[in-house]
Amino acid sequence: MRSRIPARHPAPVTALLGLGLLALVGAWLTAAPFLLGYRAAGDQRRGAAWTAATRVDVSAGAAITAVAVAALLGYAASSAAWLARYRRGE
Amino acid sequence: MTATMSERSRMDAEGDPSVPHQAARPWAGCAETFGEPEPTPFLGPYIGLVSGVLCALVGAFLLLAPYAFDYRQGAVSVPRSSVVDLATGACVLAIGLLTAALFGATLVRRLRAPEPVRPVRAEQPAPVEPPELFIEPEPEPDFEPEPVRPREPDPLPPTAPAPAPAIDPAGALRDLLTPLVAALAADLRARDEGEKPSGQSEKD
Repeated sequence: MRSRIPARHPAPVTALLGLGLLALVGAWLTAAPFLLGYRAAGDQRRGAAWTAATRVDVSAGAAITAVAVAALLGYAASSAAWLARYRRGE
Repeated sequence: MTATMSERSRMDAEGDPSVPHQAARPWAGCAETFGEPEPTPFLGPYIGLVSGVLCALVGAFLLLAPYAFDYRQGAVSVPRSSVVDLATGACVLAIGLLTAALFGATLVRRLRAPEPVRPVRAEQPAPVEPPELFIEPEPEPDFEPEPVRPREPDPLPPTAPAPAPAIDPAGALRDLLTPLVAALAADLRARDEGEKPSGQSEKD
């Protein structure tokens, strides 16, 4: 059985999980106005023009999702590039 | 014995194959330290730190949005959109700050770590010659004329010099010929001194 070499720079697993959770929360925020069916005054009605709350939720949720996913992809890309550059033979 | 010596010389030249990454030559150890320094991967934590801060800012914006955009619009009850924005904004702010803190800690830890040197063997280490090659030849002895002395018994021939370990052919030849030339000069001088008294007596 091949023994594993301890990583010199362990990956921040908790922080990466936090980024994934942020992406999920952003997706939830984007879909919330249409899933909950806001019924109060100023809430989003089906087929009506988007209210201010809906615009804010969709834009903020999309921004959070985009930032979190981009950070995850950037971290993966930088790690892959570093491994390909300095740990080619391992 | 011969096989042992040849094997030993081969191990000295190539290193001990039984010990990986360790050469038998003492001067080969310095080549192990040469290599490309391995930088710390700090780009990933930096990206995570920036993204965490951005998400926290968006969460703070979500906390303020129901009041800034007046979701209530004079209604008595709080609209569901305000509740969702407040709850989600608080979650995003907390998770964003926690993520940024974790990535920041990782970044600080990696930047404070000493920069390791990648142990890469040099392509062709500089050839280091054995120390025997660096023996300098001895300076030439001064050939001063010896004072006139009464004839002595023939001087013993100087002992042959020890086999010079130097590989330098000029120095070895000089060391070999110097005592021979000195002995020849002393012999000729003694012969001349032995002939002179007899010649003077003939003249007298």
